[in-house]
Amino acid sequence: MTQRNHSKYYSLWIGVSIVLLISLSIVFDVFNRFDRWIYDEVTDTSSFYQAPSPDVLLVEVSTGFDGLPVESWFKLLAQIQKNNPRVMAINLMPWNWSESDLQKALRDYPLIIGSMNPDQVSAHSDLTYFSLPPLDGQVYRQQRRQIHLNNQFYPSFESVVVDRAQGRAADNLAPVSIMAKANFFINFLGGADRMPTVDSERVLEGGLVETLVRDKVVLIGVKTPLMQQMLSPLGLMPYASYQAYALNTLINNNEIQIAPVWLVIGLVTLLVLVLFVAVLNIPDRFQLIMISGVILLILFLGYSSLFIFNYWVMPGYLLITILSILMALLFLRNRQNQQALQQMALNSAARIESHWLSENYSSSQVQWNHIANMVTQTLSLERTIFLERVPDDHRLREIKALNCSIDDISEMRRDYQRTPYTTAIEHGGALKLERSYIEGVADDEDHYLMPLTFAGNIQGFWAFTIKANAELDKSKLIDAVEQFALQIAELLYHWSEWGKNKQLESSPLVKLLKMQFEENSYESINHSINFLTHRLSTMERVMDGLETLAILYDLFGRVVHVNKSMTNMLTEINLMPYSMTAVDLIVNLSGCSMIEARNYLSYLILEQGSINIPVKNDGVKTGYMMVISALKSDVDENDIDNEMQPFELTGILCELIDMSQIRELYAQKENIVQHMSGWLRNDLSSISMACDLAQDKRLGDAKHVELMQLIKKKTNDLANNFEQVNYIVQQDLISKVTGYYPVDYIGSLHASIKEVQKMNKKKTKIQPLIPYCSPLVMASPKELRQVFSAIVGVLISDAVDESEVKIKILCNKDKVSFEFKNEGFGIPQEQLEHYLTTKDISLSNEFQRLQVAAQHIENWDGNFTAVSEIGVGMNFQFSLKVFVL
Amino acid sequence: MSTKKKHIVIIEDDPVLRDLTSMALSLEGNEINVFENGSMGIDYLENHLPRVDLILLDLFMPVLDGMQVLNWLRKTKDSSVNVVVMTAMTESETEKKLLEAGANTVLKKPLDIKMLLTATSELLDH
Repeated sequence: MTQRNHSKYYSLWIGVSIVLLISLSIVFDVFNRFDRWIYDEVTDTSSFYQAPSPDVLLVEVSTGFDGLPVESWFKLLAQIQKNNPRVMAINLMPWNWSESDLQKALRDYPLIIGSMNPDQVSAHSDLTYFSLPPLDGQVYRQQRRQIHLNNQFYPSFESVVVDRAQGRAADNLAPVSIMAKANFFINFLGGADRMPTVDSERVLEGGLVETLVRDKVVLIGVKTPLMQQMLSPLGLMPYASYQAYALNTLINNNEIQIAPVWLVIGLVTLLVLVLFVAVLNIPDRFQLIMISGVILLILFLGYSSLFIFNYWVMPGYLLITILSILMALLFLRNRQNQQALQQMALNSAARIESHWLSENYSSSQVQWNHIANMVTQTLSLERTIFLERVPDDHRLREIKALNCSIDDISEMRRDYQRTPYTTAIEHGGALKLERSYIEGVADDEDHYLMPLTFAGNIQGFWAFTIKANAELDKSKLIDAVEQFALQIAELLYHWSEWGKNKQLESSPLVKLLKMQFEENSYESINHSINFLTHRLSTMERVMDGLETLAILYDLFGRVVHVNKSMTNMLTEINLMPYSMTAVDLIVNLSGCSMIEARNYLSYLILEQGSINIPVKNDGVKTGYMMVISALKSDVDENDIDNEMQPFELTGILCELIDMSQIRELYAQKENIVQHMSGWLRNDLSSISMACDLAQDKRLGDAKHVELMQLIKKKTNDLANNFEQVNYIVQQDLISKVTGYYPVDYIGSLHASIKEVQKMNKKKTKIQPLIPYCSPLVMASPKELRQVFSAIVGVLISDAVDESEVKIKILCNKDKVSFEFKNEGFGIPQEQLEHYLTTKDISLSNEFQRLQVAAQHIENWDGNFTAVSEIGVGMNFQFSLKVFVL
Repeated sequence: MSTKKKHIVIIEDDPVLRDLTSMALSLEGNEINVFENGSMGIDYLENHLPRVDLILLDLFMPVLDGMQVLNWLRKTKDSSVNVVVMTAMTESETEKKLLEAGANTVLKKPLDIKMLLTATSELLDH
């Protein structure tokens, strides 16, 4: 099933669930209060509604039932009767009336009186039962048609009055059958001031107008104080007023009809269908507009049905339905986004891992053998053991050990949450242990424990021992260990991840128990990000470590990355790489105009090529070449990410390449040619002079023969020499790494001295005694310079401040002898010899270079000798063969 | 060229060229002494310099080169003896340096007999 179909089925289920839940809420009146609140608000704000003139006149007795004397009551009735009402009704019998008063009133006037006394009601046919209306929530909105009394149903006061008004002979005492709608919703539309009301005082004073009374139902009731008023949709009102609205509703037969449950459920279903189908198939930006439109439509439907048809369609439930749909849509959208994100995360993680990691390597136990052997040999370790964390545990187990095993570890807990492991973690590097960690080890070995941390987590530990008295630079050794530990921790991480995956693949039960049904995308992306961050920082370190100065711009000329060498160089000449565009950089470094620089970039972007511009800046040493190239993206049609890569070019790489060494090598070649031309000129001189002399008559025949032979020999030599010159000139000096080659050592020596002097902080003077004319020597051009730099570097390092390093050169016929010596502190001769022979990688860089230099000299048959004496200094001598044709 | 026998010292590391130069100048009636490097030449000149009329000096030699011998003559011995320097270096910079160092004439190789005799006789006749 596709993701899209899955999503549609999911939507259908959500739609059905909404219909079911809303239907149940309608049946059980869950949201009635909300719907009625809307009803009340609509009713209360309906004063604009032009309702028909009411058929009821309310006469309010403001003095209370017992405040009006009996005589006044009869006068009040007479005044009303005089104006020809259709029916007169007193909602509750006055308390100060006697039985005779009651009989008189009933006899003289067409009057219906409400009473709370059943005995009184049963005694008089014009008395009817008084009751309070049903409460709907906290608000009174309805009135009763029937009253339930002694298991019998009787018509209510309002029903009897309306029957009488409409000429029906109502029997207030005859029980009636139960009605389908025992209560009815009072029609309050038109607002609170709609019901005509006159005060009893005004009536008694004769202020009643006939038009107000004629053919109306006149309800006489007490004006109750505010505290005793009823909360209706129109707010608080006296009960008499409430009854007047009820009477008017019944007379006009315009009670408010509430939509039946089936109809509301039908509307809800329709809404869900329409909205789900429509919303899921229209663009996102129209969804909100559509939903807003539907809400307005529902409000309009609610209003119009109420005011036109007195029909309440329960829009509250419809609004709740829309709200539910909105929430469902948000949930669905969020879920879709979540799924897409999760899928992307998993895809990215999978792609990253498959791109960067070889499963073969992660899954191989052999790798640990290689690693253990390699670190033990290169770091001169006596014993090594790698420990990894047991998954989901705080214990450690052995991965690989050399010259020991986990059983040799003296502490038996193997718990990395305890010492010495916690101490090593706190230390954050290789911790030298005070106590013996590995048993059975000689007393002269130091014990170290190094935590292996990757992606912020402890992956394991690396324990090792080294000889305490080993002639090693311990700080350099620890640096090397920590560098190795970083790489080992990463390998350990991949090793344990591979192990976890294998365990899950092989054991579904374990997977089930651990509830690892699918990889947590956040965890996965977190791993990938950690991994990528590590790789990125490694790459940045590599880029920073490059001798080539590099700066990467995006297509718009903004800086993406600057390596350390470039940053240092630009800072030296007061240029801020991150505040410059590519054009600015070209202008500043090449000295070209802004227009030229823009043209260069245009060419790069349009032609996607590269250009080389010599660097011309006073602050930059000569010999740099600026190589600017357009970086093209390697488009893979199967890679969907390329859809996000609208440009074929990904950036502009600007590199400053130091051409000075290459130039020096070419200068070497020029020197060689110059030297050889000298020899050729010598040969030519010999031939020329011999020819001249051969013509001289003063010489005897024997001399002539001798000269002719000489000319012949020299001619042959000249031809051979030409061939040799040609061969040598064709040699590629740049790629030539080892071997013999005629080299002009003077240029190399001067360049080396210049290079070393830059870092000379001791103000040491370097004084080379070099002959004006020196022969070429047999060496490797590139390496000869390194040899001189290494030797001079060691001498300066050892030299006393402001002393001299002397370089003496003696040219003999077949060799050139070099002597380098300083006025320095010196080291023991044995130590110097050890430095020249040891394979210890913790050796200082200076002596490592010296070791390499000595090896080169030996390769050139140069007889390198090194002498050191404490308090005197160091002396290095060697000789190089002279090149002869 | 004057009929008086002149004493010429040749310091040249190339044996063929040394012999040919010596032969050519001997034919002109000069007394010739030859040496294969600057060091040997200086050893001889240390005792015989006053009676030497001209020194024919190769620039490029082992142990001590022509420039070092020239510097020794002009600076150490303060001698004004005629010095002809023969060099295979063709740059004018080298010639300029040699003249500044005290060479009377700089002969650029390849040489021929006529060039050699002209240069030496000019100096010896002067």
